Amino acid sequence: MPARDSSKKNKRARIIEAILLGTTFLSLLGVSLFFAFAPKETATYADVVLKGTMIHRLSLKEEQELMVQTDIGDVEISVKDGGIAVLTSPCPNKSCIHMGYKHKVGETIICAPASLSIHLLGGEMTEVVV
Amino acid sequence: MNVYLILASILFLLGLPPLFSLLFEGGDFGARRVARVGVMLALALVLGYMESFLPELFLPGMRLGLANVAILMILYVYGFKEGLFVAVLKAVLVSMLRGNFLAMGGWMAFAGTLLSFLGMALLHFLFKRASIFAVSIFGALLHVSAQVAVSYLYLGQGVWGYLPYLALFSFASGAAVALLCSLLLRHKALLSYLKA
Repeated sequence: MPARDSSKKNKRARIIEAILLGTTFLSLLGVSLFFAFAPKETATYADVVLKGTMIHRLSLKEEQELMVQTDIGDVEISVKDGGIAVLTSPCPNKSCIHMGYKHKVGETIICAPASLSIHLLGGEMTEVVV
Repeated sequence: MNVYLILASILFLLGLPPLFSLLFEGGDFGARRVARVGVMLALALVLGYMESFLPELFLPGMRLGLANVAILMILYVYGFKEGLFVAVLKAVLVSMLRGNFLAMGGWMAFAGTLLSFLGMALLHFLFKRASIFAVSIFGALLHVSAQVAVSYLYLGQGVWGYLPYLALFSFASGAAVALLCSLLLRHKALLSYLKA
């Protein structure tokens, strides 16, 4: 019977579609998870953020030291060997200094009293006008 | 500006002109067909350009992709060649209008549009019984993955975190586009205009 046949075929088509879309979606999830748990890449640049505004974008390839003026005083930041660290800071507990040098994408150094944060990022560094 | 980008840009620009001849393949191309495809391309451009000014929903890339209505229409009414023509030119021209051409955003859009079109064409022609909803959602998933993959090359590992949410949203946006297409494909006057 034509009607019954085509509806069976349609049902089968729907199932195949559902499987196709489902597997595509699951494989995309898989890829995302893979990259999420993959060892973090070495960062290539770092954004220095003061009170929520980015004030510097530093390439981690060039060794440099800079002073950032904050509400509680001057914070000294050092870039060395592809990593970045806080050298001196007027904050009370100095936890930002104890963190030492950070190298990996996604890592952050935070000095809460100074409202200062340093975010390590990767990929191509795009120059920005700050 | 690294070597790969320059190389890619040169190859890309060299590849564009031959694309135009695609539409005129075979002696008797018919000016009407060219005109109809042109109209659909213009529609895709308007939809794409206007839509790019709307704020994205929650994350970068969460858009409805309305231009795909035009692309799917051409794919269904005409075929692969014409669809490829509209898809590629839509991506190129919208990125030129937006000022994204040969920049990260332009490459993302181009990769997304191309991969999604190829996937949709493949699904539609290999699996004839595929519903337009499946084709559109499949295209949306591919679109979003290609965009994330290109942005990974520019922004690094962190971008993959966006993919699950974008992929989930693709089901909704793909369904919306498919709904519009299904309505349009039933519009007799439009179909006779296109096929004329």
